[in-house]
Amino acid sequence: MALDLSRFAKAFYEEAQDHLSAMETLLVAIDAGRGDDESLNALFRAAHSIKGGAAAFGHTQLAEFTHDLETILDRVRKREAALHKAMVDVILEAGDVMRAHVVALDTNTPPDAAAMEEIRMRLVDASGTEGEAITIAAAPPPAALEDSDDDWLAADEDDDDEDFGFFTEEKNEEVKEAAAAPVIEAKATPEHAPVVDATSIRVSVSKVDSLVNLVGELVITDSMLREGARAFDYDVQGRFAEALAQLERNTRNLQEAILGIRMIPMSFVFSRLPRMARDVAARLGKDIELEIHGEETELDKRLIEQVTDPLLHLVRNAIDHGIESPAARTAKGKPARGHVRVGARHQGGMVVITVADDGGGLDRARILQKASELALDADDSWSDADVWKLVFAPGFSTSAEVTDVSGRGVGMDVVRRNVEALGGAVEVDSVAGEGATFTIRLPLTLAIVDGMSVSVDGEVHIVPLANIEQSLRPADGQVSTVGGHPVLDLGGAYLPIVQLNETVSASDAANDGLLVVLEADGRRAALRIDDVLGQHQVVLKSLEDNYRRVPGFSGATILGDGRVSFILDASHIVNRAHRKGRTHARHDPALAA
Amino acid sequence: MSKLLILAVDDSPSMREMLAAVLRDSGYQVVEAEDGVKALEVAKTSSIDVVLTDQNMPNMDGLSLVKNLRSLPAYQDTPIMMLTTESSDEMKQKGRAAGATGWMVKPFDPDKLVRMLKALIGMKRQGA
Repeated sequence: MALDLSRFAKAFYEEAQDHLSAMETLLVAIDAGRGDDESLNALFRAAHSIKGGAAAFGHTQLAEFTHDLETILDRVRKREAALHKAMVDVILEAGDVMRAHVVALDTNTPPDAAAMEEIRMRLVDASGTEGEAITIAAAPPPAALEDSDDDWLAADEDDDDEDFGFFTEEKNEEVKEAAAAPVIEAKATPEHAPVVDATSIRVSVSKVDSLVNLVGELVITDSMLREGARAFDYDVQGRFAEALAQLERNTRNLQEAILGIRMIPMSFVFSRLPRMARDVAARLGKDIELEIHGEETELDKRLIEQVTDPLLHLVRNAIDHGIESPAARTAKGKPARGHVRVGARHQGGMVVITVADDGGGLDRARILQKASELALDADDSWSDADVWKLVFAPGFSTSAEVTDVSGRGVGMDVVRRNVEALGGAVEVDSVAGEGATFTIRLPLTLAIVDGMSVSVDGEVHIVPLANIEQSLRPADGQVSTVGGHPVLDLGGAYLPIVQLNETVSASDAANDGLLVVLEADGRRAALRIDDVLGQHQVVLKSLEDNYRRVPGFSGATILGDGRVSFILDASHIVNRAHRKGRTHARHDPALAA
Repeated sequence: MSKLLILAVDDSPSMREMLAAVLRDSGYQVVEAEDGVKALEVAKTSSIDVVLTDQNMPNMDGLSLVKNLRSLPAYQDTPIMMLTTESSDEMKQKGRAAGATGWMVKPFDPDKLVRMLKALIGMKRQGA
């Protein structure tokens, strides 16, 4: 029979990777002493499923490898063999090799057969060696996998050589008696087992993205309709106005629902942390406990993907630089085991991700010293909050030695840049001797921006609401000039005044129109505008995708009247304003509209 | 003659889909279930002619499913095949004890599956 198996192979590759992730989570939990019989069974089932699929799709090496792994796991789950640390290490590596193998098969590249064979040998070796066994709780009893209570009947297969066989009728009579009492052995799905939800479907991201784009166009069409409807007399056309209002509501609901499809839980990235933390701590000889909260917090898929590296970096950093060695901790009277707490939660339309450690905290003196070595603008009179911000400066690393764990000090500024590129912000709080907390704030989605539309020199721009502190018409004497630059006196704080069009003279800028106080990266600046036009939710169109990257603007949108409007990048504008204020930079093309 | 309705039970979506595709290609009707619990629900609400089940599944494994099905009046004589990667005597004994009609080793090639089904259905007709 001609049946194309390849169309199922793709599903198998995805499935195998899900099983590998589940195995990793289970192993790390077991290693940390949080395992029980059910985790061992789930571990075995995962390996078993991969083996079955690999064999079915003719991936012999993977099937044989998984068979060896399965045999070991089977002995462990039956308590015929103990699981010790060295074995967990090898099994984790085995998982990595299997994942690489599956990815290679999926991408049609030759898998690394030698690497797999090497791990297979080590797997077999490790299962034979002795070591400190990991204690695994015996409860709850593995009912579903327990041997049946019925008396075993003698085997009497019809055909030993075949791949299938039937039991004879007469034996079935006995069987029916034995099976007369109903046995319900259903159990709740164990917490860490891979959950295959029959009510969900896999859809490619590109399909969802095209929905997001289409609904974005619909939102624009809706604004155009309402814009056009202003020409009508609402009293006469009451029902039309009502229908328009309803269209707007439905469009918004549709948009929310579609953006909701893109939302995935933080567990997508958090699930990688225990394994990584375990490896890093082991390599550095540190003892840590990782606590994770808010895995269920949902965030746009693209945001989650792009915040993954920064987040992993922060956790690595907390273990490497934050948590002290067990000896140092004991000497300070702290528990030898360090604590790293990672959490995510929704807060006012943003997602807040925190990485907190109970290590030594940031070292103020060393940061200032390093800053002066790097010729950064810093001063001992600065507040702690200002000093901490220095760690995000390019090329900054306070680690006395460069370790292979946290890289070469290119970390924090990359973290900051990546987070800010997503429309988010990262900040750090630290108490000497008690630890540091890094906080990442991200918008829920990249597709929509809550913005205020403002007019500047006849152009309409969108300022993200998240960055607006206030808008004001400056009173007499509130605007002055410091070092040739216009500044706004806001309750004693002097903020640089920025104008989009640099050809307008400073005095014009100060005296005319309104000022919008922008806040980004913990700094503020005042932007001169002509007028505030309104407040909108705008659909963000990427400039990179549609045109090219333009510094100073984070994207563009299409207004209700069909015109294109730029969305201001507040972080860029504020930082430029401060840099210019200090260095007396000349004409700044990035800010010239 | 209406098509036979086969219940395919396996926790692995790819295996399940492949099994279902082979069966559909061979002219059978197929319903799928991802574990014993779901299979039991399906069996209670539809009239299944043949059950093909995996052994290792979360929530309820294949042997328990067979036992539970056999306790239902409607499934006293329904052919139930265990599809298993283990073809040890021990496994066969357990399958027999639970009330399975027979066993088949996974992975299987599609032709063998169809041959097995034909043999099974022929056997059922003879017995009836």
